Amino acid sequence: MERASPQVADVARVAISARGVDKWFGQGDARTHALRGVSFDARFGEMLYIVGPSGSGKTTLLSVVSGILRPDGGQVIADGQDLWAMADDDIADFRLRRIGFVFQDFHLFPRLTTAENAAIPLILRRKPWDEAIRAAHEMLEVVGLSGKAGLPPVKLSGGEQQRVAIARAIVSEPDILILDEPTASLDGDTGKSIVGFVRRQVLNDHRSIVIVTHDARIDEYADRVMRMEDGELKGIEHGASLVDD
Amino acid sequence: MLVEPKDPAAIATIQREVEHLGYVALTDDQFVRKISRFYTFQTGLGTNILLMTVISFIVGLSISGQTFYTFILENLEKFGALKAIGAKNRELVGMILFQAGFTALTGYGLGVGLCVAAIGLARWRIPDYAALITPWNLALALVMVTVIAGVSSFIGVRKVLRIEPFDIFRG
Repeated sequence: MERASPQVADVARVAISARGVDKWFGQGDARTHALRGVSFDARFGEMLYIVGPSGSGKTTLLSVVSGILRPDGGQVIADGQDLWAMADDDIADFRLRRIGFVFQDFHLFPRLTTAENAAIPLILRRKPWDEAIRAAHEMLEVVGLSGKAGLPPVKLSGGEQQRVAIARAIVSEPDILILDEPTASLDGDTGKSIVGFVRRQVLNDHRSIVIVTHDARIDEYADRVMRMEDGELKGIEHGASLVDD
Repeated sequence: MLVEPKDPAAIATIQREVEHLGYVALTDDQFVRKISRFYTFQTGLGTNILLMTVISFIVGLSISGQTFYTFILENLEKFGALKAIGAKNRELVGMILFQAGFTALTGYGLGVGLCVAAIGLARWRIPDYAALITPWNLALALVMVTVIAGVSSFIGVRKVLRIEPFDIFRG
């Protein structure tokens, strides 16, 4: 079991480094301390889980370290850059180029085809349409959906929709992949196969994957597991040791 | 009685002479204006047309505003997801304005086309049917359509600018 305090990691291998992250919500009597000085590192080549009960602050932490929610204190270094020292547009640009998101409810666009959905980050990066669609086709092949590129997402199963969301997240080859409850909308077997697929096909030495999950059935795929409770980091365990336990 | 002066400069003199006799002499333009003013202000027709125009404008504004707002509400999560992925506010505003502008111009074109077709049909059935779409009419309709599109998209833009990508994570 690793300590919950800030770790000294090989800086070159650290994808995200959070130090003393604080976040408050609300005002007056309703004010809550959502994150209490959380520090951790997410490394390249690893799959890091953030787990904990509802309201423990794991989604808030995920949002802070991915440049979506501004913290009230602390520092986040992502890919060597002080994330919250950047201007808002630069942070958005950083997310677009360096971070891939897979949302709990997929958030695919029903009127677009599967390939067009997967191409969205490249289109936002102003890649020529043909080039973006070609790259999306290649990613759909990686996630095993090459035959369904022309279909709208509603024609796909939940697991297939999640694969499209994964293709969209990795189409711009981000260094950091963020998955928010990726198995929550899927049945047990499908969820497990999706995370197993991410582990085998998407994780590599130049990519860090951070997953927020409640789902104990996918524990076996984690390299490390961060436990959150009441906005505090309670500990970081090795995934393999969890399986051994 | 119809008369044609040899010299157009004499029109004012002729009108004064005729007025001394207790009658009114009008040029073509003056006659048309007088008739038009009579129908517009003394028969209630003008007020009715104005009222219809105002009501059409309000109904159009309400319907298109409501439709556009519903579209934005239905897709709010998608806009939030785009923001989370890295789309900037100005890009989302651009998308909304493009959509509103495109819809407005399509509606404007269809509306003008339908009017022209209706007038053509009426003229075909009633040979002396008088109706005219002037450039002024077209410009006024375009301004009204632009106002409707602008107001409708403004409501949507405000909503989209307020959505936080964090809300997408929170569900």
